[in-house]
Amino acid sequence: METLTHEIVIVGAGIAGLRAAIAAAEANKRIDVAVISKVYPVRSHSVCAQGGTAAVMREGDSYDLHAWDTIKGADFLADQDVVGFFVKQAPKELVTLEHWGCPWSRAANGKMDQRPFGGHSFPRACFAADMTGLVEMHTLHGRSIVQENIEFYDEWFVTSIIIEDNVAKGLTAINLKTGEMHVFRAKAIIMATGGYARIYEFTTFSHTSTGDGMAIVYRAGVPLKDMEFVQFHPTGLVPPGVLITGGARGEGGYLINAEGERFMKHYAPEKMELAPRDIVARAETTEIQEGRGLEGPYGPYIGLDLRHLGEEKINERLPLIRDVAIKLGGVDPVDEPIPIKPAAHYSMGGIHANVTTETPASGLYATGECSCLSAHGANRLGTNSTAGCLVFGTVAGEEAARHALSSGLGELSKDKIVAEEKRVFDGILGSEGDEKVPVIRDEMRRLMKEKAWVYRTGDELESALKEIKGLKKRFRNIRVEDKGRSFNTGLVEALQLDFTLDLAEVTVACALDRTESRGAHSRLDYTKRDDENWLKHILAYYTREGPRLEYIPVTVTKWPPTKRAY
Amino acid sequence: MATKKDTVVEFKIRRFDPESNKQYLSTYKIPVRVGMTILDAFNYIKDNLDGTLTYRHQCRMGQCGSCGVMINGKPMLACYTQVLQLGVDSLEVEPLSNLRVVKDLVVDVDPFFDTFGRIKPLLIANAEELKKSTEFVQLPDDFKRYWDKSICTKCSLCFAACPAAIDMNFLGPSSLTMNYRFLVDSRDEGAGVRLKDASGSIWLCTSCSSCSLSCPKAD
Repeated sequence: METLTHEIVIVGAGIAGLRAAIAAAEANKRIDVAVISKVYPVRSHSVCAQGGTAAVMREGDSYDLHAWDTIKGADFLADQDVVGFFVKQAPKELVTLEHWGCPWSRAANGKMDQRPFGGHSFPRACFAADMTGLVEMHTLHGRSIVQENIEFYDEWFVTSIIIEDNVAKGLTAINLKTGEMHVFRAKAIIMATGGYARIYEFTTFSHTSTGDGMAIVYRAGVPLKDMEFVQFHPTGLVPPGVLITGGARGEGGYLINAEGERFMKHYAPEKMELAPRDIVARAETTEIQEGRGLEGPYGPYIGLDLRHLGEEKINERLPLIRDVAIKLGGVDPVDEPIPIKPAAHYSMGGIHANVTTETPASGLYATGECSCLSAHGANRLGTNSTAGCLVFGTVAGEEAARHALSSGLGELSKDKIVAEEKRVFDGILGSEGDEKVPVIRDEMRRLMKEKAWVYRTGDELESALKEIKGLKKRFRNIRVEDKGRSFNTGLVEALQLDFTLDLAEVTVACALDRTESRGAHSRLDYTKRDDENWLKHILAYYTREGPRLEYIPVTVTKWPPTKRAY
Repeated sequence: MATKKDTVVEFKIRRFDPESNKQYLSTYKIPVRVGMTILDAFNYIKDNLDGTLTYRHQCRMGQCGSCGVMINGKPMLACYTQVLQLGVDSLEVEPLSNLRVVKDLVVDVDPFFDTFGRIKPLLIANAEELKKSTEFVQLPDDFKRYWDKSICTKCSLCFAACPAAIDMNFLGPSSLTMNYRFLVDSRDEGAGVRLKDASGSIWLCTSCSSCSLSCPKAD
């Protein structure tokens, strides 16, 4: 097996991964950086981010206001020191992208325009129509491919990380074109592999958002944090689930029920449609459950009404979602409300890391959605994720560069590499059972929808946990139909399913443990927020029997928890 | 699992197995419901009929550019094309033209992506301006001059449609568009170098407009 050596290896090439690569490469031209991604960088899910990127740019706004909005939006589970750092760094990142050529939509005075967004009390979302993530990605891609010290490994699938004596030393990865496994050695490794919302079927997420990086480090002993907090986006297009940006409400869109009523007045009378996502998603779910949903061929839904904005504004500000609604929903928002309902969208939880993106394992950093730096707490505000990817992508790149310059390469033990090769090629590709990957995958997604969705109960979560354990057992008996080595997407899907089963298990175990309702985690059997017992993060550690849970406190600097109303 | 509502459409898919170096055709009959995309049909085949069918797919909303294939001879995004809207009961599916086939519908897109390394894929501006901590001023009308050219997803459909792309000296429609997008960006000061980058190959363009006609972002 060939061994490839780089000083820094970054896994994932979305906004966070590319930003980290550029930061590391520019920190010191002598550092050599590798970026490994299972898709071509510009195919990453980050291109689906639509509505904007939050930053304090104008008079009238302030870091304290952005921080307060974020912390209240987070239902006080965010670490306030991390939030304080984040809001101060965000404006610089946006201007940096602008200097690299990012096409930001403009206000009449020629400055970057900003739109209102859910949970923000100032219009601070910089945007590029409704394709913000796309243009940020292509700007970063342009900047990264001109760096002579970045090498890209496109369409390579990372299968495991090697951590020994609490030091991250390397990775194993399959070159999808050849099907061969290789070993990477590095002084520093950055995980930037994105979210895992594909544990659900109705999701805004791309097909490959399977949380590989989270599962890989979890199995190697690094804890995952706050995994019970999955964000459900209020406006997933019916039927496919693809994202209809919160910017549609930011531009003035209404949410209506079957009676044509703007029902948000009953749930968030002040902010209405611009309340944080957890609150709007619950309101929609309640409307549907109480029989006030609109009826369609795919079941009850909510209407996102943009008709009063007029064709011109829709074309200028929301061209992508008009096109998507027509092509994938069969509805032109100029003439009809868009059919939407809550869709799994974002994981607040992820790889436990601190404000400098360091994980508990030396030399291992985590950034972007796969990480949990506790900037988003129990509920992330829209437009804070792309901002977080930029801010903490830069931090990860700089920190990894610093670490790489002051440390050496670790020796990799052969045993782990041989065992990994065996797991992938004998255990999964060579398995001759009678279970099919798509069948187990669909069952996982069904049960997560039925038992770990917007509203949860202890009984259902217990039953979900049992079912997941059953599916994990069945997985050992799979058969991948494609036995070839080159570009075996059947094998990739099996590896991804294996990872998502672990992540579904952790999500449910943490949701069961947290006997309160906070942010995106709503328990029908524990409906109140319980600061006395639960103002703390849950850490999940891998064991063969299932996750072992520990707790760490939330950092409160300035704002003690108060009632959260909008 | 066809129901009364479903229309059955035949998919004839060009296959290539790199290990035996063999090309062949697979035919599948798919029950198609209203709204089903070509990509949904591929996923239906892979999950239910033939787990070896190989294709790329990702965002399923026309933004990531992964799933381009030739449908009845024309390059299209599988995720952004509804089967019934094609109005035919039999489809021929082939890998994108002008790129080497890796396996089935997966082509080697490296030569396409390499073209972006032959231009300057970022803003060229005066170093003093770039030291400032504030953004450039760009009026909305100036923004509009290049906006629609900056939302290219690099899906490579234009490259597959281009009769000149077989000449490796030709940059191809997508990177030439990126080059032009910076030329007309009021913040950019790299006109000289950009014109030079384009001048070596732009004359290979036949002005046939196939690129624009196949672009999923050009409506």
